[in-house]
Amino acid sequence: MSSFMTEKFEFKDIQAGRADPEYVDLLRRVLAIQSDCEIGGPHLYVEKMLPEAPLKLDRLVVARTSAEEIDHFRKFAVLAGDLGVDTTYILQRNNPQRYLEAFRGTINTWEDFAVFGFLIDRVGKYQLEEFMGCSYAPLAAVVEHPSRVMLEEEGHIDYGTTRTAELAAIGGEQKERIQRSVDYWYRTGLDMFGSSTSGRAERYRHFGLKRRTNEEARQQYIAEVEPLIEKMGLRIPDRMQGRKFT
Amino acid sequence: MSLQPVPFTHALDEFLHDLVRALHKAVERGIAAARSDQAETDRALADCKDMIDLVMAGQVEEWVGDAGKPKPAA
Repeated sequence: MSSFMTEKFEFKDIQAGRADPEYVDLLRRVLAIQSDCEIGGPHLYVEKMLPEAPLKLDRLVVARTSAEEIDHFRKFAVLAGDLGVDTTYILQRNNPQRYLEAFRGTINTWEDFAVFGFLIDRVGKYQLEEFMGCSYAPLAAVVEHPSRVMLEEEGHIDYGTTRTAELAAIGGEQKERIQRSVDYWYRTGLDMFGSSTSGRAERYRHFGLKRRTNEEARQQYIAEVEPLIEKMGLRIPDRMQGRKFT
Repeated sequence: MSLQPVPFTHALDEFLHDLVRALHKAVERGIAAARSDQAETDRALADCKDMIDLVMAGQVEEWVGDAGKPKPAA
């Protein structure tokens, strides 16, 4: 059985060399990945959705969502930068180079934008929850109550869920289009939790940088999302079809 | 890997913080005008696009100025 570190670190502890080098490596890695995911969202959707969302108010929502994600990037990037991670490459890289597959394409339709908020921002919420009470105090402070980051992510999820339900309720061809988006993003979202047998995920837990196993978080997500999909009158996609990580 | 902080970290933070505040103001301006002044909403959206495009281009060196240059040896 693994033992889990309960010690908490501040930035000054890291600077003074009081943390295990493996811990510092993992901390730098998780901050880089989180920064990449935050800025990866706007890179996916602004090019098409900012000019092409159905209404001007929708376009303003796209702009506000982008502002919030840029701000989340800023909050994680400053922690990473203090630990020697130059996040310039994250701001400059192309979508195909992003850490997670979910951020490697482009969002070209309003259906995909809606479902991205409904399903993928919700995965993001699970990831951010991992940092609550984590062993690096400055990281925990970003997501612990009262957290603007968490409130804004909840807003993105609510907006996406409402738009997805509205589009599904129209029925006919529109419902089929939203079903196809749900099929794609649900599978992608399940993969975002990573492999159930990931050794690195266990090291994150060992060092108090994450709380749940990948599979525990994935199962909780499934239990939250599938009733919502059903309530919208949509089909629950095959959980295993096209999956890369189980 | 170095544990020295990246020199322009806080200059980048400040730049993005200012930009996010300006972006939120433009969004609020656009929403406030949406029912009564379509031209103002269009201008607000254009401002939003300019600011977001700036971030998407990722030209960090231009944003942080001298903070991004190596310090001369003492």
